[in-house]
Formats: sequence, structure tokens, C-alpha cells
Amino acid sequence: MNLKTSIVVAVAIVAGLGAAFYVFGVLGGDHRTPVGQPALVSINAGNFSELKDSFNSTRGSVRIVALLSPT
Amino acid sequence: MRGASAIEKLLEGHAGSEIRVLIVWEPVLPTDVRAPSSWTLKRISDLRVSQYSDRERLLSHAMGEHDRRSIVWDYIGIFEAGTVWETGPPKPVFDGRPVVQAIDGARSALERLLASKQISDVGFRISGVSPSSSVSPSRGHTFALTGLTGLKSPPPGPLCERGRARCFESWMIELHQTTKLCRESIPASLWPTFPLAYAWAVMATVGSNTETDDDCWPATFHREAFGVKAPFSI
Repeated sequence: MNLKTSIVVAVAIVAGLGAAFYVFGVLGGDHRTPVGQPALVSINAGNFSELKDSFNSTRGSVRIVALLSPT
Repeated sequence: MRGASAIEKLLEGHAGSEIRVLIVWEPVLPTDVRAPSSWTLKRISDLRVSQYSDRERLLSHAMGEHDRRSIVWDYIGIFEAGTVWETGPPKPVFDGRPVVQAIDGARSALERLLASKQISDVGFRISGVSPSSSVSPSRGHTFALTGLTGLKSPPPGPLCERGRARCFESWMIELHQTTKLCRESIPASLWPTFPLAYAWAVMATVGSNTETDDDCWPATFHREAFGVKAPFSI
């Protein structure tokens, strides 16, 4: 195995590990929120009011709303 | 991802403040094929946070998304206490995007609202009105707070050397002037349900349990030396 082949193999391994981390770490796995936070709520047309209710239930506080992309 | 970290830092800088945070994760990029993983969710670990996965971008649509270009994402909005979401998402005091660029503005808005809320809570608590009532202080009352804080130092000594009655009189004059000053910085619609004079009295008495010759004013409320009773219990 010459040097060039070795480099290609090394790069492929690193890329594979990176892809695996991304897929299983960022995209995959479970969807648990940090300890102490409420569980993740998946909102849809049927329960969209939960988001609104959550906002209104804390009306005595200053609130921050953020919309973010997971990746 | 940088936006999430920026929000986490913002919250770390206001630990203990009464803030509630709703984080809504939505698919925007081609790589957003699944709901956020645990690894993503823990980027914002503050306990005041509730996290949501909005696969259909319902909130974005409610906020005006009508095509690809108008997707609302990488967004932060700050809402003052008392704001209610009725038919549509309410108007924030501050909003901006991308989050990493808007975070300084968000921090300023947050600090302003927290300072304003602190004053109103003291006022409401003393006057027996719930802070969650329909009347909510608006923004920009830091001037009033400054005025109150400045009065935490006692009135000039010479006035107090002429006896307690004289001391109380001078104190009342200064209180009246300060109340007038504070009132000028508060929207007329909030007055008189916002008794800053009472707030001042509470702030003034906190932390002062001893009396000296030139420190007569806290005792005014402590000892009822002049027959004056505070209209509230501390």
C-alpha cells in the first residue's frame, strides 16, 4: 500500500466516523431534553394550541421565543 | 447551532431572573431530516426552557411564512410580561435574526424588561394587586428605577439634626418630589396603580435595622415614632 492509498483510506475512515457521528449524534438517537426540562413536545395542527397555552401560562414572566434549525 | 449556544449564554447571564423560554426546532436545512436529537436538545440546558419540535413549521407559517424565502428561522423574539397570544403570535418587544447577530439587541431588551418588571412587581406586591393583572408596565422605566435607587441614601444630615419631626418632614418633601419625578417617566395609564412611593419606602427600609443620630429615616417605619404606620406589612 503506497502513501497515496494510505491517505485515501485514512480520509475515508475519518469521513465515515464523522458521518456516523452526525447521523447518530445530531440526527439520530432519541429526543430527550436535558434533565429538569419538560419533555420535547412535537407540535402539529392538532396540538398547536399547546404552544400557545405554554406561552400564555407564563404571562407573568418575560418570555423568549426562538425558532431554530436542528442542524 | 450557534444560535442555540448564544441563547444558552444569554440565559446564563440572567440566572435567577424570571424568564421563560420556548425553543421551537423546525426543519429548514436539507439535513433537518428528523426531530432534534438529545445531543441537539442539550445545547440549551437551562431549566427555564421548554423545547418543541415543529416539523410542519406551523409557528413559522403563523408568523408570516408563505414561501421558501419567508421562512422564519434562526430567530429570537423577546416578549414583555403580560403579553398574551390570542389569535396570532403577539408582537415582540424585540426580535431579530440570525440569532448570533441579534443576541446583543435581545440582551438589551431583556435587561430593560427585567428592570421594568422588578419595579412593577414591588409596586403591585405592596399595593396588593396581582402582577398578572391586565395592567402591565411598559418598557423603559429604568429612569424611574434609577430615581428610586438614588433615594436609598438618607436625606442630608443637617435637616435631621433638628429633631425627628423635622427629619420626617424633610423626608416627606423629598419623597413627594421623587414620586413626581418617577411619575413623569411612567405612562399615565399606569398611574395610580403603580405606587412607586410605596416601593421606595420598602427599598429604603430594607437592610437598615439600626438607628444612628444621622440615620433617622428608616426608623420612621420601624418604630412608628411619629404615629405614622406603613399601609402595608413588610
